[in-house]
Amino acid sequence: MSIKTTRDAIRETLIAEMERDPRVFVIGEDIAGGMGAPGEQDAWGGVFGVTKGLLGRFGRERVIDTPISETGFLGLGIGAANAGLRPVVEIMFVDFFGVCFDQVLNNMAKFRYMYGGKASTPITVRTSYGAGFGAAAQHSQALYPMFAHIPGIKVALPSNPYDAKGLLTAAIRDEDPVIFFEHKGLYDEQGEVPDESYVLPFGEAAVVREGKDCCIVAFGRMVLLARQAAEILAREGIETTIVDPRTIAPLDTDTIVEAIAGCGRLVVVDEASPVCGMASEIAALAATECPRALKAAVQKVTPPAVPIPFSPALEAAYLPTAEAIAAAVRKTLQ
Amino acid sequence: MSTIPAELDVIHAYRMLRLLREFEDQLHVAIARGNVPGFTHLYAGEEASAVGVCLHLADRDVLCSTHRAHGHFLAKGGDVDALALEIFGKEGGACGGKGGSMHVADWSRGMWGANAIIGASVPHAIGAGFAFKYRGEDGVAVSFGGDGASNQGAGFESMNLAKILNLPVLFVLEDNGYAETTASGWAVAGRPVERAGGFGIPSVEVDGTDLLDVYTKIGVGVRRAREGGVRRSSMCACRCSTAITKVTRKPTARPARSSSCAPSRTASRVSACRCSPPDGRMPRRSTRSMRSARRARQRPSSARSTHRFQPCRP
Repeated sequence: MSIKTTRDAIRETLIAEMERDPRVFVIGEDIAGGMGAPGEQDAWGGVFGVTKGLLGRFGRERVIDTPISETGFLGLGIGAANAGLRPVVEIMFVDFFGVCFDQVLNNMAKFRYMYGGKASTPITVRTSYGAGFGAAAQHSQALYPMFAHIPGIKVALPSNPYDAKGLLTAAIRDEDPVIFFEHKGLYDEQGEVPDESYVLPFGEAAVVREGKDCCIVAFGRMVLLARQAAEILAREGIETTIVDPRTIAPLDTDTIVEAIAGCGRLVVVDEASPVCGMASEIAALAATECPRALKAAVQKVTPPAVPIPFSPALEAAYLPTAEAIAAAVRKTLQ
Repeated sequence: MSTIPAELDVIHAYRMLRLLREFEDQLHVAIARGNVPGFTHLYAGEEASAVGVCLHLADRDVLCSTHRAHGHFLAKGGDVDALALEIFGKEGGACGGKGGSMHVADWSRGMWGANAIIGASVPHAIGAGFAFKYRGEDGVAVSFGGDGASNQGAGFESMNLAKILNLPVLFVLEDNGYAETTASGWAVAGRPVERAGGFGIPSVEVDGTDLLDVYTKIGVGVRRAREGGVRRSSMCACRCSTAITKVTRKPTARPARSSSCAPSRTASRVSACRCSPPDGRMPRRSTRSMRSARRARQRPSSARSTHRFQPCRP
């Protein structure tokens, strides 16, 4: 056990799984860097440096840089998975799924069911998401609810280095397609991570904090903000439960409903668009599964339904904050 | 007249051609009577393409198909009954009734399935080719696509990747003259066979109605992919025919249904299949349309048998 960043936790998971299973390979744009160019190879390791060092260990046969051609190399990964390999495909930013969404929506999500259970597509697709970096409208979105909407794929959304390692290990070993979301703002977050491999099962939410007054369900980086809000509220004598679903497909509805019913009040924090997002989904879950337990209206803390602005001042206004979460909790207690 | 290669079992090849045509002819009757659920796309007229390619393939080789896949399924060795049951949405179908005509697959035979999104399966073929190369196996992946798929970006991206990664993939482009209702002569800029040249991929044009032409010329590409070397990808443009099937005699029994719907000689009442000449643009093939099925249902049974099917969605 040692303190590691999320970036390091993800990298050591990739190395461990590639060493464990020769079928695992990584493929994506600039994941090694320098392909076909003179000079230093493996200088980059992807735009966030997550895959740096893999090339030296595993060579060009298993660490494959691609052209900017998402449909082509995601489809290649799907085909390779169908053939029994274990590809880990990187789509650099989740926004780029726009140019290859058919391969997700109509292909990898469908094969096992559509072909009568005789096909298996054990692919893991890593992608970065999230605002807060001045990356503007086409490099900052939190589109994970769109993927949870599609039956046939699993969606992991780790909020800390420990979960990132356990969920990515589970994803690579899974027999079905998994999309693994990495928030840009979590790459440098540190936490205790065991050196050995371990698996966190999908569909098991983590109860991060327990308190009787209000339940906060938060996703991805929003869990960090929820914790900050809980500290603010604790100083005021308000005790909160925080649930981190960790995977949104499958979703651990039992744990979430139990936590909501236990508190009788619910605040959902989601970085995605407020329309048809996870906040709406959890609010619906409360309304359908434990309506009599609710003592106050459910509060959604999300960005507004607008494209993500570039200006740091506007972007800060766009994102949920710990104070906004605390205010929403106070509102449920009025 | 092409010469017959010594290694070609011509009787087997002819049986396969007849099987593919007979299956579609039988199915056509059932479709026209409104007995087939959903959308169905017949392969009649393109048999020489599927058979000519698949005679070079083994079960370990992978075939990725289109929405028009019955012929590819059978030519790759898929079971006739499993295909028929799947098309009728029955238990025992190739996909347990989950897929239907547009998703028939036999993974044990390397038939990775019909895929009803035009062009979507092309990248999967390069993925299969990648897996063969990764494992050091001599398998070949074949991507079947039509003139419609030839305009999709997925195909271009796949050809680019296949070339730069040097993958054992054969791209077969079956030009049957139409994508839905749109003529390929209008929709495809340049000649289909020339598209591979932009990626440095060798290509050949064949007469998709001539089994020997297809078999002989495609064999070169399959061998190149299998044997390795620096040019493992190739493309083959098949100028395919379409066939208008005409029901000329009244069926004496209802077309086979459910578990007994596999084609058989006794059940056959479809007599004439007219193949168009191999050169030039072809008349459109008759196939499933909601309209024709509705018309067939509304018509008295005595009239159904002599109804000449109107061409519809190719």
